[in-house]
Amino acid sequence: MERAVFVYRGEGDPEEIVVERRGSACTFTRGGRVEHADAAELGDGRLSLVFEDGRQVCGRVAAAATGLVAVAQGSTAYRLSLAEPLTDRLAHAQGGEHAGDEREDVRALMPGRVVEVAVKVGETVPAGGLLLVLEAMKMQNEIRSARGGTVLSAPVEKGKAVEGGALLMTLEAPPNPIG
Amino acid sequence: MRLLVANRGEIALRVFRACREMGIETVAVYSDADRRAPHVAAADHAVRIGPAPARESYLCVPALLDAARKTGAKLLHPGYGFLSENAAFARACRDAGLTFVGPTPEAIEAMGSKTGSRQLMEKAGVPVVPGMTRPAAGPAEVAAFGRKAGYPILLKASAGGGGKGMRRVESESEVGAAFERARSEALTFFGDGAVYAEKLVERPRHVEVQVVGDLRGRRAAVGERECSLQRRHQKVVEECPSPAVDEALRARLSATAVAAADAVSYSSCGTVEFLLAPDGSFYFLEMNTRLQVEHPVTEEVFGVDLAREMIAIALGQPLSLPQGGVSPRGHAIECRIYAEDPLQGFAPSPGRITALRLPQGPGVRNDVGIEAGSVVPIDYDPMLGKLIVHGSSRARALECLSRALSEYEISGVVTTLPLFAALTADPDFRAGAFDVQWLDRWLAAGRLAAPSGASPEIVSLAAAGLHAFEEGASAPAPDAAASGWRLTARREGLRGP
Repeated sequence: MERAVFVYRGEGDPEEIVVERRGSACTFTRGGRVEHADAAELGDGRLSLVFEDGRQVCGRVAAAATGLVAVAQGSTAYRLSLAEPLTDRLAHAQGGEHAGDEREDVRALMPGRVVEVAVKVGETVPAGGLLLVLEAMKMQNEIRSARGGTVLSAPVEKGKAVEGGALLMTLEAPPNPIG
Repeated sequence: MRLLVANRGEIALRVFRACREMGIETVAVYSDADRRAPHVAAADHAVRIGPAPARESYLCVPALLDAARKTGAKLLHPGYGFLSENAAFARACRDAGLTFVGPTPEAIEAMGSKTGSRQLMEKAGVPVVPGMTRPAAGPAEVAAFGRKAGYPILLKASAGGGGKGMRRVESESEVGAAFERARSEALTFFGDGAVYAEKLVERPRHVEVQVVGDLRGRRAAVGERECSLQRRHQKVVEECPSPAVDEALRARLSATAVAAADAVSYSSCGTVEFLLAPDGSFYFLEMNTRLQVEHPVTEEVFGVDLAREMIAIALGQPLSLPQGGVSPRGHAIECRIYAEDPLQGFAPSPGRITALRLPQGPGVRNDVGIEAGSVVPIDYDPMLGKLIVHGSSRARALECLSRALSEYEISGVVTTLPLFAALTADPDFRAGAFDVQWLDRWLAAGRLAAPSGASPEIVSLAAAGLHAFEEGASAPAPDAAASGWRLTARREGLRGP
């Protein structure tokens, strides 16, 4: 017997889901309601559940990011906030630290080539200001600052290739206009 | 007989299929990024033509000609994109004694210059949108045109196509920056920095006519296609016939398209693109002197094989289509599937395809250039393939599309499939009530959202799947674990003394 507890954050309040599995027999306990289903991993990696009343559901399940699960059912891709209680707490702690962060890290969403660097270190950029132009998959993508600020570092060079996720620039948030 | 396809992806496979049916041997070319690509594995012969960047491989004329010489190919099909509309390449093929499966270099040249083709069309009595008659020397000329024609205007690469190198300019203050960007893109993607401006016709539809001509001067129109569903000037969904075209308009469009083709003595397959205004007037946009990405919708509705027709024509055979036109049957819709995330501003999503399940059943056609396990490189256009459905009416085709999408799964990279599922449920799309800017407005209005309200069954499935994932308990199904080899070995063992 294996048992796991998850927290599901759907449209309503977060609720706990308990999954117990013995061989192919699964028991789901959710909001005091108990359901039994037969689970089968298909040859192509998909998972199928057949519930006691005959309902069948099939899809591909993958852990997406911390606390996020991706379920692909044909072309429909669900992303569920389904977290193990422990990782859920960690995700929250991280979010708290980032809230007070006054830096903006600009990263490459995809691998590409830098075709233009529009700002230098020390320069101040308005929110939405052009930082650089990244060419990927036949398109020139203008990368702009979300919040604006002063360029602290720009480890990029015109003509150089960058990996997906690579740090392109770090900006310091502008001084608070009220303070 | 051997034919080389100077292309990659689904279109290389499409042309190879026509070759197989005609008993012609196939030659693939590949860059270092494509050694494991499906088009290479599908070919009878294959030649490496260079490193990953297109300019050093799929756009490298000497490497392509060498490949043809090395394999003894007598025919060369350019596919679409890359060198398909490059007159110098068509001429280089001719000079090398290769039969270019497409129009003559002269026809490509005449239609390839957007400014030149406009003048030619005006002379032939084909209506055109007001625009500059030659490339702009600088932003000042563009600004002068803008003042005369009125904003918004459109900046276009003279040698471009497919929306690349096109910029909408709202006012004179934007001209400088837009001109520089358009010129830089034109130079990067087409090797020619010439750009020009034209007046923007508001809320038009994009309707295009398929034309086919043989080497004996016989030409015919094969109906129209509706390609108004575009995102930033890139076609996304195409249909045949257009919901906005009736018999009378079809006859006028077809006659005009054939007149355009006649003006350049066009042979092979080509497409005459028109902007159709809400009042039924239409303007020549450009002629694509190649096979279009969206050619399958015409094939499904008219029961023709355009890729085969092109090859047959290049071999000197007469047009197999009656000049009086062929009859349409039902309605077809094509969705272009891109490795882009529609929920993240269509950011490219290169990577490895971990799972691929193609829809099947009546009315479904898949023209794809990927397989499970194949890698989508960053170096080329991110189109993975096309889903084409055919039904006895537009309503039936929509039902088929919706059903096919529910079967379609691509895992590993994010794709535009969810966009099509959302579109098939949209009342305007279902009614055929859209124009070329409709999709951009629809997306800007946030009409595409991540699927919400997962059913209790889906939540249970996620929980069960994640449970298995975390336990590492996803014991593979027995059938998957035991390969054919191992089963054979076991049987052999049983038979032993």
